[in-house]
Amino acid sequence: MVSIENLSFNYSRHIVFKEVTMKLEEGKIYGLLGQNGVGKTTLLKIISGLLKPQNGKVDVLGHNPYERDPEFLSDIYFLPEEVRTPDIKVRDYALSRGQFYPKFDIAQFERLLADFDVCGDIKFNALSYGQQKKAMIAFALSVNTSLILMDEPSNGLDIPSKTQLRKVIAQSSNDNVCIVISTHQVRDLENLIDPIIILDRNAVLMNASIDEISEKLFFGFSDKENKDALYSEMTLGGYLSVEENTMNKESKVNIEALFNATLYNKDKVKQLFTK
Amino acid sequence: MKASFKINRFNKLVAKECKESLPIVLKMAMILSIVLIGTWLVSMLTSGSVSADARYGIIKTGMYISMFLFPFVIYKYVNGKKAGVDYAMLPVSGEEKFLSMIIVSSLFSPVVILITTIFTDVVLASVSSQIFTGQITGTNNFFANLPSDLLDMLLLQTYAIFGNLFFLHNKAIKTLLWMLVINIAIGMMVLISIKYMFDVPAFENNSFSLGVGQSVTINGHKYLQGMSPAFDNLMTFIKILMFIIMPLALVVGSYFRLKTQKY
Repeated sequence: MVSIENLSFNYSRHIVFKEVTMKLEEGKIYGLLGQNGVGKTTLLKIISGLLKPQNGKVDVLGHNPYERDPEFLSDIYFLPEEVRTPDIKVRDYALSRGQFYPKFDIAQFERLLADFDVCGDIKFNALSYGQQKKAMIAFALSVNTSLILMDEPSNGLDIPSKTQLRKVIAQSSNDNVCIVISTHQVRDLENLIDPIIILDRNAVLMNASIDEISEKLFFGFSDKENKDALYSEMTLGGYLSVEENTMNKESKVNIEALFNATLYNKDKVKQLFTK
Repeated sequence: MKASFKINRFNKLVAKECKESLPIVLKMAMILSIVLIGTWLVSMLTSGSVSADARYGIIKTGMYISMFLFPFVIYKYVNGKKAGVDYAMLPVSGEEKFLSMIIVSSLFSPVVILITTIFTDVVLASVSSQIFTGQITGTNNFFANLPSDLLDMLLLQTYAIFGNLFFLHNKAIKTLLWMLVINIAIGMMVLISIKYMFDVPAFENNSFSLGVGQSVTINGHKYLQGMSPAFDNLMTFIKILMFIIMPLALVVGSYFRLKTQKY
């Protein structure tokens, strides 16, 4: 679905990606993680054709995204972190844009709006930021494109809405759809995103499924700090540590701990997951 | 097969953009109508009258300003790093987007404003023919001048469309400054050409005016077409440059700017 080979991109002197290669497949909900400024949004923009890579090959749904062909654009949806909408009613917005997406389903949009408790008859400017965002998430999921890119979708949402967000994304996922979610707030999307992509400056540290991660890493609690662990932090339940899974033990992946473990042991983790 | 232009998709886009821009265009039409009503009120209070030609002048000036401003108010967001994403990701081709932008800015919006302001004027002139004397559409000037005036407005708009896509902030002011720079450059070119053509001695304390493609006045001395073949050629070149090359370059430049815009 998405194939990136030797991608290089920079903003004048600031190198964002240097010969990055990755593949994204349909039927998955990718979680795109990384520190501020590592290029999560840039990557989404390159995939959606909003930015042109300086070098390398990017193939999305069989298209060069930067050409922004209508056929390509009608099968991809990019939801930016900050939504900017015209001052029109939510339903009018959906109808006026939806007509350009062959698989847009207005009934699905209305259902999702109802799930999010947003009224479609109100103008965008009369809605709070969180409500605007929920309306846009509802639209993003009801256009039924093969590729959905979401940049920090849970930002600005209240706690019930975050729960609803997980539910609606899970419902929208199927074997033909690939969803990529960039987020800082991993807890908001835990149990939803799989595989996990961790970006670092200029490179991809990890692109692995939850199964692969739990096969290679062990997440456990103990009373004492494990000095040999890749990462260890004190929690209310004791020390949470991330270790190399040499004993093939089963454990539940803690994405936040995984992210920290990866950041503190970049080379080690990269080596583990490129084997 | 790639289809960069599909008439159904294009029609949908034009309809959508006309619908979304209508409130803005109507606001501008209302401002122009208020100017006419204000003129009518002032004339009534001062027991004066305003001729149809004078009112045509008011409408024409308003139209020039509106036509220049349309791209900046209707399409101000298209190259915004954040605000432009919605527009960029709309599943239509760059060709369709650009043509639709031209139709909305150069056809739909002026027609709405023209109809609204002429309607206002006709109503006011009908209500009190002693204040607004004569019907604006009844003057010979209206039908004789309107097409060439509209053409001038469209030429002006090519600068606005380009400036709107090229600049990110303070678009209208930067476009005006940029137009000023272009005009100064063309003026300088003409001045230097004439200096060598007619051996004008010195360029100190000059006054200079250029009637595009017709005459040049330097220090009160008027150079007219027919004075020399070289001058005629220069004037023809200026006409071609300002009325054909520049607008075409601006339209082509605007199209490529829109198509290759990065967000």
